[in-house]
Amino acid sequence: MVKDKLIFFLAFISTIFLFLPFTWLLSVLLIKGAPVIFKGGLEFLTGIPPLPGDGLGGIGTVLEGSIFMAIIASLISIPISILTALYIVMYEGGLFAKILRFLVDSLVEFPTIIIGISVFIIFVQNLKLGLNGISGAIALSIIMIPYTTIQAIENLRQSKDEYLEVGYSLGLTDSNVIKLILSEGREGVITGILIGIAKIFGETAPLLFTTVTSFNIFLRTLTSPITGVPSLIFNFAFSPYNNWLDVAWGAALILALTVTILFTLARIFTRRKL
Amino acid sequence: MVRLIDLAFQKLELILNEMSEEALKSLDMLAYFKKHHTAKELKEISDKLRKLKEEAGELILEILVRYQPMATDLRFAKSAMEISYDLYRISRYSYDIALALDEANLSLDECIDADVQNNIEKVKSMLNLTIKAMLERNKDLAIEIKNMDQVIDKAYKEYFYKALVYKGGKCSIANLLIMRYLERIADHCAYIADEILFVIKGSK
Amino acid sequence: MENYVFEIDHLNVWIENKHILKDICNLKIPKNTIFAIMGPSGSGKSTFLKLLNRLLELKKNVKIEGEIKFYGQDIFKIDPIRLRRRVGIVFQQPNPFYHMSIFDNVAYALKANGLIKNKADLINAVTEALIRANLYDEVKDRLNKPASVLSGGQQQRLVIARALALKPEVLLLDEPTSQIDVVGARKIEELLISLKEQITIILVSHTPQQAARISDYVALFYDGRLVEWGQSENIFTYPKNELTEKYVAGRI
Ligand SMILES: Nc1ncnc2c1ncn2[C@@H]1O[C@H](COP(=O)(O)OP(=O)(O)O)[C@@H](O)[C@H]1O
Ligand SMILES: [Mg+2]
Repeated sequence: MVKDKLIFFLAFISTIFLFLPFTWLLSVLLIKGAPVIFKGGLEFLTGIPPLPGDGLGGIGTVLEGSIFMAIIASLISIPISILTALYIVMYEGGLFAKILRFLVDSLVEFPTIIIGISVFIIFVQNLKLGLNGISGAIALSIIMIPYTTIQAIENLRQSKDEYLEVGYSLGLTDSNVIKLILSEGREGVITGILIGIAKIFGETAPLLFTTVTSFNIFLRTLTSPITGVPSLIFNFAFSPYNNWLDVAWGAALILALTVTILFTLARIFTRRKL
Repeated sequence: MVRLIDLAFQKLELILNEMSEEALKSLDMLAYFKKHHTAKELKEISDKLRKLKEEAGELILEILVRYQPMATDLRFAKSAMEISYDLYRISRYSYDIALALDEANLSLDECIDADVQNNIEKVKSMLNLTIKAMLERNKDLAIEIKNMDQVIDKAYKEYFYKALVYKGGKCSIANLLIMRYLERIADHCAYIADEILFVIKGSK
Repeated sequence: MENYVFEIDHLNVWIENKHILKDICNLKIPKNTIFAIMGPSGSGKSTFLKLLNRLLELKKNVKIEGEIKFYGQDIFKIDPIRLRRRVGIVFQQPNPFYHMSIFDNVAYALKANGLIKNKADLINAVTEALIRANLYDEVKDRLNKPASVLSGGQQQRLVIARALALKPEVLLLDEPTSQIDVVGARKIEELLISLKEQITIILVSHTPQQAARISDYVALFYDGRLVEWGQSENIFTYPKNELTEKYVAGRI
């Protein structure tokens, strides 16, 4: 009995300690960011970032940039992740599958700043891609791939265990069996994709090396010199201008909300599976 | 680990043992009929065996329901049902013999002839053997019992034809009846032997 | 020869160099019967079942020796995809496609295999399979609901319907009722009895009682060996082999 109470007490304390930074973070963000967003209104989501001392403006350019890069990064990562995961699952135990798995696991632990630098050297400098959304998206996709792949592996493996034999037993061909495994495992895979997008949405370091530091250009062509929300926050937050600081807070709240929504969606998808 | 069904079978075997002892006792009593025992006593034994037979039947049903026995277990359950009936019938024939003697107001030693006396002893030892074979699940004994039954059958038939020509009054009628009932008792011993073979080999 | 669906002789199977099935000889599965396979777990029943529609070969490091004939034809010379359409299988755990509707579960293989293209034919085929699986009345008003709304027993019958949709000649079932409640299990047993008029059923049974209830023939596997097989009424009352006796009497 005493032991039970003690355990309960410890759990309670640790919950509070976990909640403390989270709630503190959220309250600061809300207190500082919410008034900015209310003041700016819709303009805040669509407008151009202001000049120093020149009102509030908006974060439309970088929000567009972030979304653009997320889409391009997803277009690159999703097929690669799914195919990699499928290979690893279907050829589990094989040498190449083991090597792939090892690479994916290592990539998760890789410092994102190094990924940024590598993409800068290879794509921006050597391949002359320039500092733009595409370069940024390439760096982000390299960060996203291991996350989505690992999630996909777990879910496709389960789906394979459950449906490989069933598929073959129904007289399906190899390709139809793979379709079946993908289709039955899709919710977990989608969860992984959402988590991956949430992860890259807030990534700052790689953007610093692969995109520009001017924030007032909308996307005209695929290679327009643009950047994302985190870079703007990074630059504005350390500026001496009050209006820039306000914009940074507002942008930070928007970023936090987006990521939270993505995670919630991911959770909903996971739960649907049961 | 003892199987649950074995515990139930132990109970069943206790009942069958008691029935065997009682059946044997009823045959023993016949030998001293009128001097020491009455038809009423034999009726009591027969009634008791009928109750025990019911008891065994209920227990066997319970075993079937609870344990869904198979193979040897199933065969034993089925055979135990038959055997309990056979034992009851044996005691019932003993009583029938007693009734026949009573009706004719005879005691056994008064007019019993050597053939009949001989047959009583044979049937008694046959029942003894049957019980032994049952306890030991002894295939050879069971086969021997079946052979003995044929001897008794033959003896009855011979006695019957002898009685047809011999006009001997009530003693001879009583003797014939006794021979007839003894033959039936021997039949039931043979049935039990069949059941024993069925339990052991799965065929008769 | 036409009286036997499968004939197995001198069969040996190794998985990962482990001898799993050991010299299974002279085993014949008569047509239109329920043939039960029983034995302690790990005795090779599932392995044997998966051999019959060549699912076992999907595993790595499987070595098979010996003879299996399907209607007199060597199964290793039959295209596995064709064979599997003729020999369906149902597993222990009900495994419908949870993401699909009840209808699509049954229609799936027909569509994916390109066997039926016309919508009306598809509806007919699905309805027929559901009726044969004794499930139609319970689901006819909710064919578009996901399979997950069904109870375990219904899911298992849905899986049977899914297999029946391909009109197989043989249905293999691997302990199909061991995860199902009694009522559900009884319905499946009744279903199997009704199916055997049209198809041959090979059933791995988790209890000798079930095998005794519904099978016409029964085989005992023990440690990868075929101990004995024959007509059920004989095996359950007068087993010839001492191991069979012990197994059905619950002495092992
Ligand atoms: N992939 C495998 N690798 C190694 N051993 C296996 C494999 N699959 C099954 N076995 C072994 O084969 C034996 C028979 O298994 P199985 O056919 O599933 O038995 P049952 O269905 O009778 O319980 C078991 O000893 C099991 O450990
Ligand atoms: Mg198994």
